[in-house]
Amino acid sequence: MLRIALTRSSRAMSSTSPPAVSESDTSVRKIGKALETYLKNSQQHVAMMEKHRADFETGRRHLAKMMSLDIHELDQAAIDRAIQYLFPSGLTDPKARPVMRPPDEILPKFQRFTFDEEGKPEGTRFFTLNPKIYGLLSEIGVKTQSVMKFYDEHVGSRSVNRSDLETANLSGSQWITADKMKKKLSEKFSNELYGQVIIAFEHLASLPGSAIEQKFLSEFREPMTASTDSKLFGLAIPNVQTCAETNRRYAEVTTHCKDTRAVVKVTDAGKGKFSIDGLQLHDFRHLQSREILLAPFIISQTLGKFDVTATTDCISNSLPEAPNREPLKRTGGMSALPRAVRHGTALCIAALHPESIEPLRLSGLLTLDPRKNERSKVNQPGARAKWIWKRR
Amino acid sequence: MSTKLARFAQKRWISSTTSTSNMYDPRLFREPISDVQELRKPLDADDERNFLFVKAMKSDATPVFYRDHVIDKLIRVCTKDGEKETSRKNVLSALEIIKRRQYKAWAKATDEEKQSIELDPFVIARKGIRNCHPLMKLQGVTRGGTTYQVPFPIEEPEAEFRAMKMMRDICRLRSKHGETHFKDILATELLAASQNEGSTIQAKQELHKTCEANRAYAHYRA
Amino acid sequence: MKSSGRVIWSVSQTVGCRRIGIVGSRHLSTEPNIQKNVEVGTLQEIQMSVAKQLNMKNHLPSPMSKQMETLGELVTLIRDPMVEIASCMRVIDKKLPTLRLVLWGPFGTGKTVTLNQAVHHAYNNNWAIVHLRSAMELTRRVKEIEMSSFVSGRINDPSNAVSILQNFKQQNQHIWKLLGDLLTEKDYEWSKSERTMQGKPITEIIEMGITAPYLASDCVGALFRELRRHAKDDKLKVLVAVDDANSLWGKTLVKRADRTYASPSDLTLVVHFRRLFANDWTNGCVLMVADKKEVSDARNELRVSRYTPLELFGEEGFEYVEPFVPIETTNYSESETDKIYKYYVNKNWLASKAARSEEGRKQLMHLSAFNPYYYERLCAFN
Repeated sequence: MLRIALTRSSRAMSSTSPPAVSESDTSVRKIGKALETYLKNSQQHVAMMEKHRADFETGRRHLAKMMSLDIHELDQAAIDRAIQYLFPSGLTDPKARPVMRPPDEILPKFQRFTFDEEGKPEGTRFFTLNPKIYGLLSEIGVKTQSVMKFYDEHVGSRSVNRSDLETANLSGSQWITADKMKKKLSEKFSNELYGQVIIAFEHLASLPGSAIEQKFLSEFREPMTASTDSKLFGLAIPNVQTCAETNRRYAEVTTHCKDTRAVVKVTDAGKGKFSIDGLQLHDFRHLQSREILLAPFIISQTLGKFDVTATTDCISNSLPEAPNREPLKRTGGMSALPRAVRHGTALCIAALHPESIEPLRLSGLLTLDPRKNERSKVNQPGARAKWIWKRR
Repeated sequence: MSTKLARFAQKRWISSTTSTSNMYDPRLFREPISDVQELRKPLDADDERNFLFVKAMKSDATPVFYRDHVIDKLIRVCTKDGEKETSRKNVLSALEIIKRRQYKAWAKATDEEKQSIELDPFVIARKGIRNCHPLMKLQGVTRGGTTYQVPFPIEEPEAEFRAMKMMRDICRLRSKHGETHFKDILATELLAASQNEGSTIQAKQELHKTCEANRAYAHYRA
Repeated sequence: MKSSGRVIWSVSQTVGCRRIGIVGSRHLSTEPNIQKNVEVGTLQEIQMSVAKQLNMKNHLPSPMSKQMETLGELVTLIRDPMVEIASCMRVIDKKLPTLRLVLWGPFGTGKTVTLNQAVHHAYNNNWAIVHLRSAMELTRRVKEIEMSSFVSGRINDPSNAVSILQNFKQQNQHIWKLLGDLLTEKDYEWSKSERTMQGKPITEIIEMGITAPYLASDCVGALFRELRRHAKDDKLKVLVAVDDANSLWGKTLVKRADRTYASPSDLTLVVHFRRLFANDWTNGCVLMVADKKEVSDARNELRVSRYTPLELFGEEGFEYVEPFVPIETTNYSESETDKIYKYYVNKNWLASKAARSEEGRKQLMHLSAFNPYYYERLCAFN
């Protein structure tokens, strides 16, 4: 793959006099400097990888012996288990724990370049040090021009689909993150460059007629909420069960809000009765508490059709360090307890009454509220409050 | 020296905020729908909320039949020391007082007059706050050591807030010594404001006068 | 206008282009001499003049009395507890010992309102009424105290005693003549100079107490003694209605000279009322309300108080008051809520359009948790 063509032929073609041999010698060396460095690095890399691969194999054999396993049984999963056993780690970050993997997976890859016969790198972007991303930028630039030209030529004409003349539909997706782009292009670059790429992409996507480049743009987009399949943040809608004795359907779920954990059970064919820790709805003296508790019924228009039973407790009281502290006497009172029960009720109603799933979701009742009490900091009276500031 | 620093701060070159991280990732969460009518309508196929999470509903935003944006905002503005329940009690009692007064007038009125008397306290409160919306606000602009009160244009939400704040401060001053309660004074103010009378309307008109008088400084608005 | 029984009035409302006729039935209490059948589920109107005489404005809970003032009429719903009380009152006889009834129930379910309805019922049937606004006034809102000259160690409360006598006088105007015909049993020596001879009408005791506050507490005791005696002799029937009755065995804020809190048994007025509750006299009905005000912490907005009679009266009180007929008050049912809703709509009290819609009606019912007090509060600002 590496073709180092010495320049006998070029020397023969040159019209310079023999004393120019020394010049062309130096010029060959100059071009070759980039190449030389590259070759040296490449050779070093190859040697290193060989050594590491050999080490890895030896390590595998030793490990198999230690764990009294057959070498052929020792696949990557077995290696992981063995390492976890031999080097138990208390580190919280999984990426910081000891790992034993084939060097190809762990060690940094070496960028391969093609060089032409004169030792010049193929592709002018080698010397930019970030060839792939600059290549991407160039590509976006070219496509931007072509999209604008396409639109200018075909606007108003009937030979082209109407849909092609619109902007690209990118709803439901977002630009891939910098890390993902680095992996995709297998190249490292700075965040400023990433920002420039996104700016260029945004401009292209905003042009009318960019629908023709939909496929290109989609390669660099990932769906939002990609990590979860569901559109619900927090708990999933529970399954409906039937009570054996009374033959009524019910759904049960455990949720929390702030420090209150609530186990909520909603039964079908009810009269709108509440029993939260043994209390009825009229025992909630604040109007806001009752509003919160009834919110799922108001939105799903099922006032008085279901019965709710709930029990609550403090999450802090059930943590392992709780016995060393004074137990909290009551769970969240006016707002947090009703909110926890509301979340559970909404999920159960969504299970028992599926027509109301969309309204409940869009009103925000099926979302687990992720907000917790902010910790108080040293040298301050609270989480955010400061002591009275004196100028001197 | 201080003016330079002030200019710096104005242009926000120096960040003065502490952590402003949101528990809700702004790329993944959208605001919930609070209106019951809108909830019933199906979403557009390419509406982004089909693919995104929705934030949890706020405690005071349950879509009850008497949910009113102006009254809720007034409750929040009148809250003191985080005691929103007290504020809610005061404001709703003020609405009740308005209704009782109007009812008494309505009961006494003749049949023609009955048509013109408004009994709904929410409508009266909305009208009252609306009448108190200032059209401009005064902001201090410092030039060469002197701070000039410059009139600036104002947006609807801010105008609403300023109206409520004016009313709240006037009511607090008057109820300071405890003879009359905040709810009674608030009721009187809201009723008067809905008729374009009362101290809050007066305060608004004085603000307008000052804005008019300081018209010359408007070119400091940069 | 002489009308007996039910008066049916109809109100038609124009909604859009349709006419809806709403028929409601109310009792107009114009004939006080008939033991009327108090019907369940009807809205009973008490005339303003009667309400004024019975001092309803002070005795009803404050939201109710405000409503009375605004709407210009006092209309309440007759519910099961009232019907029970009415039937109990019908049974009262000179041979039977006093019937003790205890109204109990969770907060806001109509204990005080039912008590006032019973007082009105007694007024209609020409009973004597001893109505105490709240026993907590005797134990906790005592402004000035005097040591009793009658029994050492007892504490007199002049201002409360005077107000009790004045209240009695005002509420019993309908039988004032009858009371004037009843005579005292013995000589009453109030102090060295004042005395009421035997054989004088008992109205004199009342006048004596009102004019001389320092004698009032003893006058109250004497009055109650005479009432009990005359009831035994079947001259009149007595209804004793005490709100927050469990406070008679509760906590006091009265301080003795040595800065310790007095117990309720040291207060003369409390002792007099306790004697009224005893069932050693006949021809009377004692109606007590067990209220959580005594045990609950006013500053704790979240705690749910106990409300059963045993827990509220305490051991001592419960033993004293036993045996009694417990009458439970509960939240509204759907039909009762509907009646109140229709009444408010008719009176144009529900002002906002949203409240008068079907969705509003349902939400009002459920948001108030069917509790009468919360329902009224919700309707007040809508």
